Amino acid sequence: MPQLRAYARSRVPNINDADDLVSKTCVRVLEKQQQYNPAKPLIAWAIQIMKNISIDDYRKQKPLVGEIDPNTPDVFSNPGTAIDIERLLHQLPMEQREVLMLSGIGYRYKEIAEQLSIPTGTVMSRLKRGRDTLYDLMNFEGERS
Amino acid sequence: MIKLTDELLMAYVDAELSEAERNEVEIALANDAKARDEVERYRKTRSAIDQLANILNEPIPDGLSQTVHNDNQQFNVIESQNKAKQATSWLAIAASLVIGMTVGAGSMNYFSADTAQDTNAIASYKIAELSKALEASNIEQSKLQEQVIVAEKEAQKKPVENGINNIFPFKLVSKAIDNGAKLSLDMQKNIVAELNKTAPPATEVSSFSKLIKRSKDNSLISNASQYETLGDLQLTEPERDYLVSNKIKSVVGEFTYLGKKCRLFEYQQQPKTEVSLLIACRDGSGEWRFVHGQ
Repeated sequence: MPQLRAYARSRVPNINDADDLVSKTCVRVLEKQQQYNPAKPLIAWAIQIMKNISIDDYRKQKPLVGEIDPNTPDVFSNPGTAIDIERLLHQLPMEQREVLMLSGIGYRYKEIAEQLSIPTGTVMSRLKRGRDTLYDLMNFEGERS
Repeated sequence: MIKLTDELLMAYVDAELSEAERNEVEIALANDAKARDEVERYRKTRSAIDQLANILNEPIPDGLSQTVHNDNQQFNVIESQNKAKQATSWLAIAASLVIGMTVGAGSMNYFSADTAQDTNAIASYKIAELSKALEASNIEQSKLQEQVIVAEKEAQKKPVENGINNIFPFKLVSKAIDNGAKLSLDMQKNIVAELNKTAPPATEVSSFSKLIKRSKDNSLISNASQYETLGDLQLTEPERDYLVSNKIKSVVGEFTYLGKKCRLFEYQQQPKTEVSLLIACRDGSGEWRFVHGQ
């Protein structure tokens, strides 16, 4: 569950929307349970489903990134810290974001490659590009604060 | 001299390199200030993205569990086993375990003789239980895999089907180890016993070596040390001849396991072919018994 929440947060910036995505994913996992291939870990399958849902929703322009209710907690999970990594993350393109998130929560390169069905080389180049941009963003933030 | 590309340096910082590669990079870094700066940049971004792991420690918000309870639907899952030879498929058992898990389930007593013989496992659950199972499966992953391995062993005690003899599940053990499983004392004992009897494929052996390397603080596995060459082992002449004639290239490590001295060797069938790993354990009579890679 925590891994699902984390991955959801890389897909959508708003915490509430991310948690909605998680519960949608749980429902879909149950609906499609007959298709579950036990050869793979359940979490990997759930993450794949989550990715598909978020892509579908984005295409249908569902309000995943909706109007921001001033009362909902936003993605600034650590207000007051020098660098709010999640906020910076959402300034990156999706493909880099998801790789950085999975890496951040402990996935190894090979595991990220398997999860996203991409070659390890692609994982590394996305990770590198993401981190290069992140570094620049972090320095920019550092100058501002 | 190794070429220090950006991606190599990133992999170095992320501990994705083999020990040999790491050593080469460190040697090259000593002479390359620009590369050292790169390494620093990667270290900074590494610490930043590691903070994302804080999400994993957040409590599941009430809103999410509430939604999950409200949906409260009941599903029946019928896990049908495939064919006769898959009748005790650990994969199906694992799936049923995850899907059927409830909080505080403790021992599900899944491994009773009847259920193991069943060709269908029926699990019913609610969405709330699934989310807990997902959560639990993350935390309990290694315990789950241990149970899976135990189940496989239980299955081995059943009469064989179609004359197929179930061999010791080194693949499962490898998978469990690769996924970070901590093996129970009993399982570790089983592994050593099997190693003395059977010949696992080289890939399984290398996973066992990961376990050993990872378990340096495990009180059962003590005196682990790394060696570079056969010379470091201080072998006698006949021992060295024996090793060389068995195409032993070098020794990776030595450790004591449950009082037994074990060594991990690199073995190469032919020059320029793939190197595989062997474990040799010294038995009660002082004899070294090799387990050969395939």
